[in-house]
Amino acid sequence: MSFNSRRDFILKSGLGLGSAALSGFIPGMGFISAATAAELIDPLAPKQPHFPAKIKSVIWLHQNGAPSTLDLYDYKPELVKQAGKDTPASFLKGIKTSTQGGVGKLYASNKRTWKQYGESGAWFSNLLPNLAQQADKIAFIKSSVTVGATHDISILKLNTGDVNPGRPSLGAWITYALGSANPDLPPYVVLYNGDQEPRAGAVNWSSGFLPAVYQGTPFRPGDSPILYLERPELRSAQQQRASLDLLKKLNNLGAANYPNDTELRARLQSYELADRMQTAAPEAVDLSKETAATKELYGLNDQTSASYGTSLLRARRLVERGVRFIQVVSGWPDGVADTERRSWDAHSGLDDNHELMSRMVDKPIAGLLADLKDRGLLDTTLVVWASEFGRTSWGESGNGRDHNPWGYTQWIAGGGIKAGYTHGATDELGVQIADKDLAVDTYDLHATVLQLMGLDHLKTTFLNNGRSERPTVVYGKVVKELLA
Amino acid sequence: MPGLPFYPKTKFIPAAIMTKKILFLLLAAVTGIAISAQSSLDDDLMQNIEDSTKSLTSNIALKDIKAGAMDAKELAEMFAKVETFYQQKGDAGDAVDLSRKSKELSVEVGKEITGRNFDHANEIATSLSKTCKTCHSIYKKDA
Repeated sequence: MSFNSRRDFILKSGLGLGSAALSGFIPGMGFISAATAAELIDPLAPKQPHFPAKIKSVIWLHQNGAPSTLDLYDYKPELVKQAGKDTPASFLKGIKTSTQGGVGKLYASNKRTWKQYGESGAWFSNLLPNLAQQADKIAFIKSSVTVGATHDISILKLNTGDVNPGRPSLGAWITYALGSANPDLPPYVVLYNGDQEPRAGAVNWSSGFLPAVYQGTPFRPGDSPILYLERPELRSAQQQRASLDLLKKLNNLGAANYPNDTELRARLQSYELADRMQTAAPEAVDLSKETAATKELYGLNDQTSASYGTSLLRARRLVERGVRFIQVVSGWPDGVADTERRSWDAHSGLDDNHELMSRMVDKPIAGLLADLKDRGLLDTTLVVWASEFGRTSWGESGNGRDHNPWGYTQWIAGGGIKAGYTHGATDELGVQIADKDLAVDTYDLHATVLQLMGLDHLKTTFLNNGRSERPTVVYGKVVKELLA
Repeated sequence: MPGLPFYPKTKFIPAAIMTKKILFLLLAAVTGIAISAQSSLDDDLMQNIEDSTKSLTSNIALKDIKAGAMDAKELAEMFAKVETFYQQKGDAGDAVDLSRKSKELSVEVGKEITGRNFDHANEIATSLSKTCKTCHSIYKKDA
């Protein structure tokens, strides 16, 4: 066995770092494959975009469980009028309604009130009073469509562009294409609130067939964001430094004998990077120096919004520190009963569910937009409200709504976008998009985000098993109407 | 009888009758397949279209003129088959139009590849994929 193939075997076996405990020292990097290290001395070195970027960072707000945008942004007076009646067949033409609950009677909550806000006159329901005040910062996509009607599959598509596992997430593609803007922090971070990792898990921030170095790094809620990052209590800082120095010395001896061994050089860099992250990551998520006013702005004073607000305040701090892609997955408020730990997925009891979930996200997201603006960061940051699909116009279980991939609302706000613009629409009842030519699928949203980052989605490619792959698979079109 | 296994009574079927039954079942199966093939598109054909579309996208990105042009040619031929199928099936005007459009886009993308206009070829190939998706949203049972 040659030297290279032996190393290749060890690295691919996941033993390349010497011990599992050390893996915590390279958050976000996982086990670097031999191929990666061989190809790139520093895989996270900053790279030039295809054209000047409009934004530096993305905050991707995945509203987990699929909120009913018919109850938040997409006001349908006709739905209110027709509530309780059958859905006319003409509205169902061209779609397959094989969703769990079948097609029930049209449903509208009698608790919902609607108002227009800002110069754009965007509609918001009474569930989002704080976000409504930020109306003019937002560009709505009211013709969002997707594939699938189950959460895990559509969440995967939302994040990776495919309904099968194995493809890189959008954040991984951006990290691969642009590298890191801060050598002390992971360039792609995942945040969530609640006491469990988000539904469907790591496959949604995976690097897929890209090298593992580009995958997202989940930051746990609480003071210790990365597992195993903290130095064990029984080990002093001096001991750790001494052991890293010894490792470095030995590796340097090896490197001197093998000057062309790029794997070893990559390994040397990753140990040092991990050492720097040990200090940088906890500081990045430490909110103790934030003012009381800022904490109030993000809803940290309200138990319902505190955990989500904490995630968003951390997201802003990560943007300030050059993190390129922050994926925030909504969970549930701290301290809720077990029966309330259920995301936005309101197949029944939509009013109760959406009142709770809206209260959890409304103030934090409004606070994030206002705070980014005040700090001059909104021009270089893109905030995306995204969900795996929407919810049906007809009711389910009497007072809930089923899944709707045929027409729903997502929005973007921030640098390079046409704030106050609304793209596309759903039909009069909100069943499906009104004009199929204006459909925005997840691939199109990805292409648009990449465009704002200075990347041509058609030219952001990676050779995988002899095939050139791109983030938008074989689809994707930049929604130019959304761009300023 | 307790303690002993139960053996069901078996009916004796003469060999000639058995042979006739088998032949009948075989005939029914073959006829069924033929009818099925007429009423729905061959899954292999659609899978081949999907594979060729991915290959086409890759070959455009890799600027492989020979392989890309071959993909485009095969796609044009396969879309011609899809168009013919829906013409014969009837009551599927959208599918006829979309498969014809796909065939034309395949021819066009082939020309752009051989003309080394890879950027334009990429855009046309993406439009081609979108056309497939539009058709699936109407006709594919599990879309």
